[in-house]
Amino acid sequence: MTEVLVVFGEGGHAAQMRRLLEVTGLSPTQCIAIVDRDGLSSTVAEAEWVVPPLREKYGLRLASLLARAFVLVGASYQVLRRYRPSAMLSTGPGLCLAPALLCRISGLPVIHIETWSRFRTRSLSGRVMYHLATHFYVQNTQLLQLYPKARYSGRL
Amino acid sequence: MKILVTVGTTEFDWLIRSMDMLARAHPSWDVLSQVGPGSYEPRYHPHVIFEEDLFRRHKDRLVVTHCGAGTVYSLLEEGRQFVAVPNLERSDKHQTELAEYLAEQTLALVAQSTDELETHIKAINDQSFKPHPYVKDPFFRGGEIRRIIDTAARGRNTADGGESPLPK
Repeated sequence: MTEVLVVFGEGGHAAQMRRLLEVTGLSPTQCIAIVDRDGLSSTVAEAEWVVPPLREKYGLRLASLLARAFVLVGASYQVLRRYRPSAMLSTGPGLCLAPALLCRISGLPVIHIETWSRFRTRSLSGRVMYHLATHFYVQNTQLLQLYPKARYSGRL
Repeated sequence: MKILVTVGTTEFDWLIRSMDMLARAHPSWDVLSQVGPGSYEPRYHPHVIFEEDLFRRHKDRLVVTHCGAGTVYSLLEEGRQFVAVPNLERSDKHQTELAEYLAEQTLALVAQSTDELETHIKAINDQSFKPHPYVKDPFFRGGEIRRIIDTAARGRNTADGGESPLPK
């Protein structure tokens, strides 16, 4: 039975999600993933929806960003309707915003872990998820000053 | 001296170029670079694009790495010394925050120029650099998060028979 929608991007975000799923003891049969690259969730979820990455690593163009956001909202809606997860888990980056919004509208808990590479600035997804998520965790104590209502979680 | 250079999954031509210059200047250095999707091909030392179990296969090499958190935390947890080089070619500059943290806590040497690369490599090699031991405060919210999810799943099953609240 699919309980959890897991949302994460490639690179460090994927590495953190893998560690997170290990420590929470969630098995692949309980997870459906939304990711930004093919095969990213192959060891941790029973199925994945691949969306184009919101941000290219070397620039940010508005028109392409809006088009991708649109695709993301559509994909999130379809995943929620088809799989009916009970909760959402994310490690960023920006692709988690649309699914998080739809999950909140549906009354689901949204659990977000801010990335382990931030110490003194907030990521874009962190800034938004701080207000959107029902449970927001930080891995570095320095971030508690920037996110006063966050909970410290230790490092993945 | 044997050195392993790694850039992970993003381009970091500056680092490969610098290490190539150093390899040329130090013929006694045995340098191997993992270059990822980068476009610069080293001329004075061998390279691979990607290799499975890179660190395990080259245990005897001194590590020079981009400042990607996944790699850096793994090396710290292993207790393996390294020179960290923040990748400033990326559009998001968050590798610099981790690099600052490493320098502030004296966990590793951070290089941002070819000169610093050379100095730091030598410092690790002759053991003149004494890092603070890394003590990880491991993630402890796993159980709590699992309970949140399980409670939500149970509530879902009894309350609405699994019907989606989204409009059809």
